Amino acid sequence: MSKLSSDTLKESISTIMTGSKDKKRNFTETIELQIGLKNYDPQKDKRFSGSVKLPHIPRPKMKVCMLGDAQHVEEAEKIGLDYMDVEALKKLNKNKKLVKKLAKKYHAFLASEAVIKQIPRLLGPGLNKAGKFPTLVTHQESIESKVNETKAMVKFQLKKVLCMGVAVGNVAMEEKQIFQNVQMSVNFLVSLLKKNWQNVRSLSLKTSMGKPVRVY
Amino acid sequence: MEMEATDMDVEEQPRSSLNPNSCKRFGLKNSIQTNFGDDYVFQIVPKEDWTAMAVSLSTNAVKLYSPVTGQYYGECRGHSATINHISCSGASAPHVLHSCSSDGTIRAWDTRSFQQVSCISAGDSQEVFSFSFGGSTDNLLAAGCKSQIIFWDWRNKKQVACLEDSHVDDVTQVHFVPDHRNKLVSASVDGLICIFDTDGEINDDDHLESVINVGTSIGKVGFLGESYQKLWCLTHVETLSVWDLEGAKNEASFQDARSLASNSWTLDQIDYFVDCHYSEEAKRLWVIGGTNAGTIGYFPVNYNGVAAIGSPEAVLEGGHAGVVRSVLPMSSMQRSGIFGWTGGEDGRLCCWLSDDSQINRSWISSEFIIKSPTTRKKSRHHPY
Repeated sequence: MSKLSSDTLKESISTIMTGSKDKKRNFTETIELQIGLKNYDPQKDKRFSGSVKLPHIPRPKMKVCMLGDAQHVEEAEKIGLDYMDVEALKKLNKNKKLVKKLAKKYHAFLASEAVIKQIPRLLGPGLNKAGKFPTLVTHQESIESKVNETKAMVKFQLKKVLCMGVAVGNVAMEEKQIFQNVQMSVNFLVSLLKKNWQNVRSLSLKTSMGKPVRVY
Repeated sequence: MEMEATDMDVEEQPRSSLNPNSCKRFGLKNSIQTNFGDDYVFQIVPKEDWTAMAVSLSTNAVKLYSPVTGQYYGECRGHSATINHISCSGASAPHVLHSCSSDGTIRAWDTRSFQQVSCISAGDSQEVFSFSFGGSTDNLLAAGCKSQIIFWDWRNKKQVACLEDSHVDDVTQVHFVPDHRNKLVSASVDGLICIFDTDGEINDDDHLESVINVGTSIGKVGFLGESYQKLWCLTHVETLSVWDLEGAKNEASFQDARSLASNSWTLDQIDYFVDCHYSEEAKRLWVIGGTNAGTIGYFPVNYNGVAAIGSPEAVLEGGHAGVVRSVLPMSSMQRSGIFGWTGGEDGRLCCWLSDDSQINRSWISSEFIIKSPTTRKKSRHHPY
């Protein structure tokens, strides 16, 4: 059962949105969910880290590139998605600088089965090092939905301190979408804790430049 | 309460010793409190000849017990931070136990005297999360550290290589592939599984053979299949996937593994997975799921064709009062009447009776699986 009150959450979202509108920034602020834990010992309790897929894309501007076989390249072209084929990858010639440059240009990569196998050989560990090794796309799934899925994934990781932040949206989103993203991520994260809500000390929402607003 | 009708895919599969037609409840033989504080049992591993089992605890120590009687033998102390992995050596060095820790060391212990016999350090600010012995000439010790994989020649303890470009976060697992001793599989919190060729002078640029992107922090991987060409993978968000090492292909993916398992039994919902178990004889895979209250079940995993998680074929209930962290099945000791040992965050070690020694009371036929939270509170035999 969720202990997160819908009313409090709605109110908090309005508060941070108003705050962001009052003082416009030159960029779209990200909305972060901050979680404080209790009764949790990082020395002996299981790791609290991973990725969650949110219902609404929190980072729409994320640039994705398809490293595709012939069929996927054609599909990418149709939907206006950046792509590279094996020939183009071969031209990088395992050159570290070029691979680094490619990794910098995009936030994430997708790759066809036939291409993903060759990536270590063609590019070396460059994409691994950038934390951007491609996600596999098969011919059974549509590239577009895979792109959206990739954009909807957010990472969380608890290190040695008992608090962490997760990006759950941005101020350009509808309040209802933010609400759903927060609710979904909170419920999922709580389900991973062994004492569930008894492990949660506090939950706050904040925009990149705004003040945190406590929701639990 | 009736069990849900067994899935079709389960019926198609060959039966193994673990699965005599229905779900078995295993009886508790005894349980041992490993400590008197709030410390956890992390891992239980057997000595190669099964004369002892080593148990790592959150006290930074490893305790040794008899796997038959549960008798306490002694304790190996020396690590100054969390012990992340332990393993006993093979027949060539039957009395050696290795452990690695967040204190940055891998230590070897004599299991007869409980004394430390050697220590390899990965560096002051390092943490060692996993290790594996192998290589084509069996001279290599590989260790998964903070975003690095370090290799030593274990005979002279000289570092021979360090891979630092392939992972960007803690390397939680390293395993040399059983049938291809030159191949090393690593898995990390960064969501990647990497496969390296460790022949020759090892480096990131030329020795990274293939990469699997699991997409989320990886906790544990293990081999399965004929000639161990497949991998199962459990993540910290409790997803399960099966991969083919050849071509890095995905065979099955269970994003909602916990609900699939929960829906296949009538007990409390599955909160986490402890481990997977692969039977070479039966060619079958089980995922071991647990509840926060301490009940665990062996759920069959179908990864060929229609991916499915079936109804549990073994239930171990009434032993633990917290999260179960390790399961040691006693395959080679079936005759002793013991199914295996489990250990958990309640600090307890539980010994479970095997099938043939079951007393009628201790298992209930599949039609009558009833929630019985009270069994947990029953007073049990404490040998100490």
